[in-house]
Amino acid sequence: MDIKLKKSKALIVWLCFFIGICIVAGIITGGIVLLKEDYHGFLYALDKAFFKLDIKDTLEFKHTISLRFHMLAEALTDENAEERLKEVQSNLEKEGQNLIYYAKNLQNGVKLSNSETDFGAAAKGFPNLPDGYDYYIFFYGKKMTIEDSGKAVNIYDKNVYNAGYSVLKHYGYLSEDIALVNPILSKCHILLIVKKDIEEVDGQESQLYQIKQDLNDLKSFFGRIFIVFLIGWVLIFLSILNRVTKKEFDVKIGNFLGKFWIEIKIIAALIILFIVVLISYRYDSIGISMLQLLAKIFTVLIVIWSLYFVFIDLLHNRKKVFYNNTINSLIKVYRTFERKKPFQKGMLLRLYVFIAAEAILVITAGISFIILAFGNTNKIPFLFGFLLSLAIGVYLIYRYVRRYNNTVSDIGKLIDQIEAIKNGDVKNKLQLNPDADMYNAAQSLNKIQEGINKAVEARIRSERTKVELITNVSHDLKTPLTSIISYVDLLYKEEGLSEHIKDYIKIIKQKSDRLKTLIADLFDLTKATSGEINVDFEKIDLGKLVWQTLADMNDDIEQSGLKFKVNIPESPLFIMSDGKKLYRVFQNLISNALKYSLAGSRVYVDLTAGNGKGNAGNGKDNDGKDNTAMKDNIYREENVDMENNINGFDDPWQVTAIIKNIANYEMNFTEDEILERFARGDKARSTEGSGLGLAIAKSFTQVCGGEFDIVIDGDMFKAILKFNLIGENA
Amino acid sequence: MDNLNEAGKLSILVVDDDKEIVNAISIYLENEGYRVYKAYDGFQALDIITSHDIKLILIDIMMPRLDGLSAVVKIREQKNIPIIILSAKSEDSDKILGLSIGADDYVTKPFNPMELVARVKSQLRRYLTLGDVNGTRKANVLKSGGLCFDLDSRTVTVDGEPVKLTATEMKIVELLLRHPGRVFPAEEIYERVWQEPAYNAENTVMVHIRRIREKIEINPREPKYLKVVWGIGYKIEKI
Repeated sequence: MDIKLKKSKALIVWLCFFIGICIVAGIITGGIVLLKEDYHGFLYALDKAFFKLDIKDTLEFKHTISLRFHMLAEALTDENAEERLKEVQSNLEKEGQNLIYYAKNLQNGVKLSNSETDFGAAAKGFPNLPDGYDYYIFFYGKKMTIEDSGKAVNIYDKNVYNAGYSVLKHYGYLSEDIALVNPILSKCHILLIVKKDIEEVDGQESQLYQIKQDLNDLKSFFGRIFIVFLIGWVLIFLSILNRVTKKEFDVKIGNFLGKFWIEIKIIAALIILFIVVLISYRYDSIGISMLQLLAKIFTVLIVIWSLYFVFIDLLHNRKKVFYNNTINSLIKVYRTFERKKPFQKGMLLRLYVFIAAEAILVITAGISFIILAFGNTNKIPFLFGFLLSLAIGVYLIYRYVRRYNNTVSDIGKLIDQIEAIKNGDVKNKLQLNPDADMYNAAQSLNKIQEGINKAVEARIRSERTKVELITNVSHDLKTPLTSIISYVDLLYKEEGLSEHIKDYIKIIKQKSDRLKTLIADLFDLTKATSGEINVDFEKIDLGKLVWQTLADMNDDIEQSGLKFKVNIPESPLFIMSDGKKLYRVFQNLISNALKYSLAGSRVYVDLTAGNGKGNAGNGKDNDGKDNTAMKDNIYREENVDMENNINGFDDPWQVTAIIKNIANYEMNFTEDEILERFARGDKARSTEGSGLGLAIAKSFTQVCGGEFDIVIDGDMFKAILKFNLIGENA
Repeated sequence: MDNLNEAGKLSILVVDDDKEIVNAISIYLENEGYRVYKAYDGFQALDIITSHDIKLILIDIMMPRLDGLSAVVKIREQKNIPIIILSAKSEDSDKILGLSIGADDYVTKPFNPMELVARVKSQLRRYLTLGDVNGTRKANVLKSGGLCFDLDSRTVTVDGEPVKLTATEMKIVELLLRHPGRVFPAEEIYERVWQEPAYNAENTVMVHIRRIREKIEINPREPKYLKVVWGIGYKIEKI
């Protein structure tokens, strides 16, 4: 309901605007046309209608009264006046009581009057007006007096007699010496008195009354026009007040106009132009009738509204005005057809259709040109055809190339998006124009991305719950374990127990210690793999860290009887990492090497800096001399100074750490298998340790910003770690 | 030990909601000659604290009614006695929180009973014999927490207990203790202690560091004073 009301309100406001403009523009146009037609007449009519309050101010009245005066004067001075007097008298009688006249020739005593008295005119020189009369014109042989509503009119003033009293001047009544002009007249007294409110005279055609009627008619006509004009302004004003609402309807008009092809609009414009021209030609003659006036107003209004609609169309539809043409519509129709085809076929089809259309246009243009050049017929349609074909041809090429460009750039975006998704961007969607060739592909890709996003989120959620679970479980395990460890220790210290009981207790003690390590390791591993772990990155020297780790484990190394061959560059190898966690990594790797190496074999610890491509996988051949015995079992290898290789490059140079040992058992498993969280080197899971050492080493390396790999080559076990080097001053 | 026994039995309060753990700890502490009071939640602990002359508290964090952290805060409002937190929460953030609200030590479960006893002794020693730290402060003593280096007598004590160090170890401790918190690379330690150009310093220094740790730390695996900053060097914490 509300919407309907709103809709109709918009329409009403718009109609106000429309009607208001029509009225105001129509009246102004009419005024201008009339002004042009009869400048003075129109201005005088306007003046009369709006400023002449009394008919005695009008030219018509002054003119008529002057003529009446002249009639009387002529009648009095005429030689053979009998006929004339009667005629004048009957003429003046028509005015009835509206006009009192008194004319007397003092010389021959002829008197013309519809009144007994002379109103004292002869005696005093100025008449006494009876009640209800307010205008007189009086001539007493020498001079003329006119008085209107008690005010004397200076008839001898040049401006006054021009304004209506020209007849008096013309016939010489205003001459300095009237006797010279007309000796008889100087013996005459003429008095005309006009009633204040001129009335209709029964059965007679009162000219004065007619003038009054005409003035009233004019006044009421202009009054009505003026009211309508005001209404027009009010309507315009109202529509301006509600311009927002009006705009709603303008938008509707814009939408409506937007549906039409520009060709139709051009034709409509031409038709309107034709009508306008026709009307102006047809009625552009001298003099003007009401019909002609209306036709002119109509023309102007048509032009105004046409321009208005063009304006609205351009404002609302902008480029679309030109874009919505027959060619585009044809292309659209073609496109709906093409869309049903698979992409490859559609693209080929487009090329074929394009070539075909261009060929047809070239042929049309060619034929038109030949006829233009050599034909004898009317050339205009062919010139038109030639230009049109040419224009359409160029336009089609433009459209094809533009479309091709868009598609290529969309393919580029699609490729970028695929790359972004590959790199883990699951948030930013690819938005293409729904009309684009790649739109469906982009939508599908977005769906895939969404799917990945959901999967990733679900995985993160499950990892988090796993961490929570492990945290809780490990806590719940630790509490009873505390009791177990304490009481086993107490038991172990108990004296007087037999040897085999002591052995049993020892086993329980060992196992509970192992359980302790296992729980701690499990907890660490879960946190690291789920990314819930805190990493404190700082600049550390990897070489130093490995030395520290080796030195820290020196006792174990000595006990193992294994020989450690260590090859670490002299120059520092700075990386950004978490030292505590990396210590765990190397500790785990070295303790693994100690546990699982063949007795008496050598364990190699190599650190090399490089660009991560060349020697990374293999490490350096150990051809150095074992010259520096640090401790009995650890040898520092003489190494090539890496400094020259590192400096001067700020590319992602890497440091590779490799720990190699020969296994003391057959490694019948793959690299992946051993990294499985609970895998054990010997698959037996019997000795101490949690079996999580490698998994922890790998997870910790990764959270510390490194790469971790295991290579198994026969009996050789290799752990390879890679970190990005940073500059000396970083 | 003797001086403690002379002063009669010292009272220790053990608080944990797991009775077996409380009992086990009691056995160890009673074997060492302490009187043990037991509480199973925070409120009980607060009651005992006010009614008895308790010299040290061992307290769990996760307990019903009043948890350990709140209890520690409340105890600290009235008592200055050593508090050792016993907890299954083993993350650094938990330890930092526990120590920052007023606990003196933090032991994670499952613990080694002997280590726990050692920590109890150390805390008590510090509280009872060195309690009046300001009064006995000497001019020529380097200190970090319970670790003291008397420059005049050239002796090192941990919580008042003398520690026997070799001359080289002594020099290393002195160097690090003169700049508590500063990290020294192995090369610098070597050059300043051995007074000769560093060569193969890492291993030599590390071996000494480990020996020192075994002497001054209760648990050398989790050192309190002398720490390795992996990949950089060594330092003594500023406590």
